[in-house]
Amino acid sequence: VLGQLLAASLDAVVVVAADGTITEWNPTAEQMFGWARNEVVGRPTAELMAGRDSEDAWDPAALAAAPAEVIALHRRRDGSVFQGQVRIRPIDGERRPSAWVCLVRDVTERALLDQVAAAVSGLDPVAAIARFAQALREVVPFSLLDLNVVEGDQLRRIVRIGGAVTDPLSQHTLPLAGTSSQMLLDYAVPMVVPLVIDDTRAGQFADEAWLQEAGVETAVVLPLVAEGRLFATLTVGFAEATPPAHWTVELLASIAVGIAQGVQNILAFERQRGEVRRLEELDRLKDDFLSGVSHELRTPLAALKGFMQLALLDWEEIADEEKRELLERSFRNADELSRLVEQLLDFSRLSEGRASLELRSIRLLPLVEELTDRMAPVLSEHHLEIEISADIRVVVDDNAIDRILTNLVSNAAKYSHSGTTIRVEARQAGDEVVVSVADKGIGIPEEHQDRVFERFFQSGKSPGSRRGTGIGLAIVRSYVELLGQRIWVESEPGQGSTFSFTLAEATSWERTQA
Amino acid sequence: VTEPTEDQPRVLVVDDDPDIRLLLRSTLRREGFNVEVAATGEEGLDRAHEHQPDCVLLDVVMPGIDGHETCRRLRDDPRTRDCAIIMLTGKSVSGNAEMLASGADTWLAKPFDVEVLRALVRSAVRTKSGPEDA
Repeated sequence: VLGQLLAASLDAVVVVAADGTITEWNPTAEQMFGWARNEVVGRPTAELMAGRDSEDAWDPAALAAAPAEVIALHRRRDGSVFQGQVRIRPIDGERRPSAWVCLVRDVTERALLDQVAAAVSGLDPVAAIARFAQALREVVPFSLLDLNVVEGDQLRRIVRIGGAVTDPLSQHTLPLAGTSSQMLLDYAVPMVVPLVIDDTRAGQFADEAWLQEAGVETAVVLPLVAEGRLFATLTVGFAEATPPAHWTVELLASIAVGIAQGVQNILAFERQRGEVRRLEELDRLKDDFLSGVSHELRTPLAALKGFMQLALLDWEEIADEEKRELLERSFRNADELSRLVEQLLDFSRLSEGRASLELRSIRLLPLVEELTDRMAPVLSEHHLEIEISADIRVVVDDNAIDRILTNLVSNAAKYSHSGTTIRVEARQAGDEVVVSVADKGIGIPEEHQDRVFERFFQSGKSPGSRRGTGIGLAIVRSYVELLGQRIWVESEPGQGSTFSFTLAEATSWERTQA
Repeated sequence: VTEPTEDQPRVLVVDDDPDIRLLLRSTLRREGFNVEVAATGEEGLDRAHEHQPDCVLLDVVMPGIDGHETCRRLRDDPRTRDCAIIMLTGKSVSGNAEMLASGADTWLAKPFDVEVLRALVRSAVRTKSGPEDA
């Protein structure tokens, strides 16, 4: 009966005599340690199964003094190690036991999963990853651990431990094609079985230069699966040429699920970090904006105040012609000031979502003509061309269309040299009308074309030199979007820019209003 | 306004804003100064070397080299080392230390008072040309 009990136990059962030799060794122990019963009975425990930190734990004196339960590293016959939880029971009395019954359980996986769980729930995944790597390294002596997230046709490395990298959250991208990760991805059903690379320099993985560069000879690539989709891979690389032991592969496979969860947490953390950076950038832009606005207001104010004071001081001596010029310039600067103030008010209205629309249908041509007439002082140094068919009617809000066109036209004037042409045109395309404002100015570099509509972003320096606040186009976009329409820019540096936006054609809208 | 003459004190205005350039030129010409203008720091340095002004009015925020850098270069060059330099700025400024660090004699915030500006330039020119006249 006792023999059957021993055979059926899920724990390794090791009986240690008072002199420290093994007297009993069940089949689970044979499996766990790799030693057969007849090889170990009569031999000292420490010699056979103790890994680095557990040598003392198996000493008879230590067994006598030990608490009922100990977790320590143990060594298998092949030299590999695992975390063993040992429960110790003395036989024949507590004071002078004749032997100890020790139940050993392999808790490596559980211990590692605990570390992974810490990364899942912890606030500091960087530290949690480092702790996990340390725990893993005790049982799996890897030289490199790379965690790569699959993004489109690229692998983005988000964690690297080993090599010369100190921050485990290291960012690096490499093409996915030809990698072992691609192989795992190619299975129709996500594979949860690890891929073992026996030689990183040979055969189909020879493309994986990143492994060879890191001095990795053999590796295990773990597929990380979430919601039935392979979203990342964990590559555990070894500097030794011998393929990783099956213990290692099995252990890694069994913790892969936990790791997949952990990785999702890291990704969430990363997104958060990105969001913080974005907010910091916005904050910086806002500071620039405030100092920019103060400069923007002061420059026309200085010109306005100066021209008027000059006129007042020297009125008698100034020729009529010059008086007129002083007044004109004063007006132009006052106009710019009022435009800036309007812009700031618009901006705060739109930012707070207080802008509301009153839609009406209107003929576009007279609207554009009236607006550009009003802007004559701003346009005095440019040629203006308007090409809009008289029968085009659109749905607009008076304030919104005024802001959109004023900003686009004054930008066109600001970012092009005097003497050049500014062209406003509109063409009907089905239910919508595309309005565009084109200049032959300095243009916008391609890498800035996506960003010019962002708040506070400024691409270039205007030839007329005033800096601008960086909110004009953000206001334009907000109004266009408020109208439910689209805006875009086409530009060639040195050739000019064309800003186009859509408006709803009036006919079908009028039908719904009737 | 009479045409500039050789013995009039020479003032150089460096500002990237055309209206401010015009304002300063009109203001100072009427005071009997021989006024040159430049739209950038680089152009300002060229003009300064050419005309050896008694006084330079320098805007701070300009494309290319800014007013502070222009000021340092004027001070480093023996031809312009001794001219009076007045900085003009439309930025919010923390104080004298910031505005005078590059070697300017004084500074004015925009918007400025035309009369104060005239007085400052008169005084700067007088101070600079004083020892030579004596």
